[in-house]
Amino acid sequence: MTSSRETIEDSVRSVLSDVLGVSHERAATFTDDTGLFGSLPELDSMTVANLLTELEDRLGITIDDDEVDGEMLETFGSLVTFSIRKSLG
Amino acid sequence: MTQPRSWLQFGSSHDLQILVIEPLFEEANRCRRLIAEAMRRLDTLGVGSSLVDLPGTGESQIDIADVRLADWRDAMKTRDPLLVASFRGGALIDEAARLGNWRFAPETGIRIVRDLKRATLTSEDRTLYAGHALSEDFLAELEVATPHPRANLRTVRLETDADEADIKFPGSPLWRRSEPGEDSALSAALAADLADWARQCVSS
Repeated sequence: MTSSRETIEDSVRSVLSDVLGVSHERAATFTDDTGLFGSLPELDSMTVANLLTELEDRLGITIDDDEVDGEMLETFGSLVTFSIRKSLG
Repeated sequence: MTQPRSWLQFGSSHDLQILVIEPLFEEANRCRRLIAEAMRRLDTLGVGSSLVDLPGTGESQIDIADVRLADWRDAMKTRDPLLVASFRGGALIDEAARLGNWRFAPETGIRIVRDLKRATLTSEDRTLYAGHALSEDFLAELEVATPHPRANLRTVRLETDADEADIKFPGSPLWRRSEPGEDSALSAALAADLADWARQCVSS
């Protein structure tokens, strides 16, 4: 399956909306600079785990635990960049 | 082993009773309102239900670090239930049912363990798995656990779930949400399905 960058960004947005329980309207306002881990109170440690699992399922990727750090989860932009790199190689 | 306490019970006077097993760990908190609402509705449909504490969780006096999966299975067996409805990881310990099993979005142990381990990656205390001091032995047991095949089984899933099911309902996976809230439409659909299923089980 080939995914474009836009499709992947949409998927990340949709996963965040589902996992955080925020509305799709609010998720649509996320920009590259929107803070995630450490900024959104909804994103606790267990939710990070759920977020990674859901991203794997939806994008058909595998995320190694040692790839997971604060930097990758810092902003919406960094999470999208990571997801694009994993999906498109 | 002493019988685990029912900490939530609806419709205890009804002839038909269902033992409810919650999802494991944090998912139980996230699904609590969904399940409690389904149980309340089940009562209005003439079916009683009760939810028990698993040893080492909730009000139980046992230390979670000493718990093994067999303790949870045995705790359910002491209730000698006719019908069991399990949610998510509860399907790993639901074989005590004498007549029938109903499962909502059953999950394998390996995926539950993966989430627990991942929760430690961004957690301040890396010795706790989503807040639980679980033993390595327990995690190893859980990792290879899968829902047991059952003779009389009904599986229910969400529409968004690609896995096989007898019926699928619309709804969102509340167990993945930090602020899950409730889904009264899903609770109602689950209660109606459970009530029909319970009556079919005892009449056949």
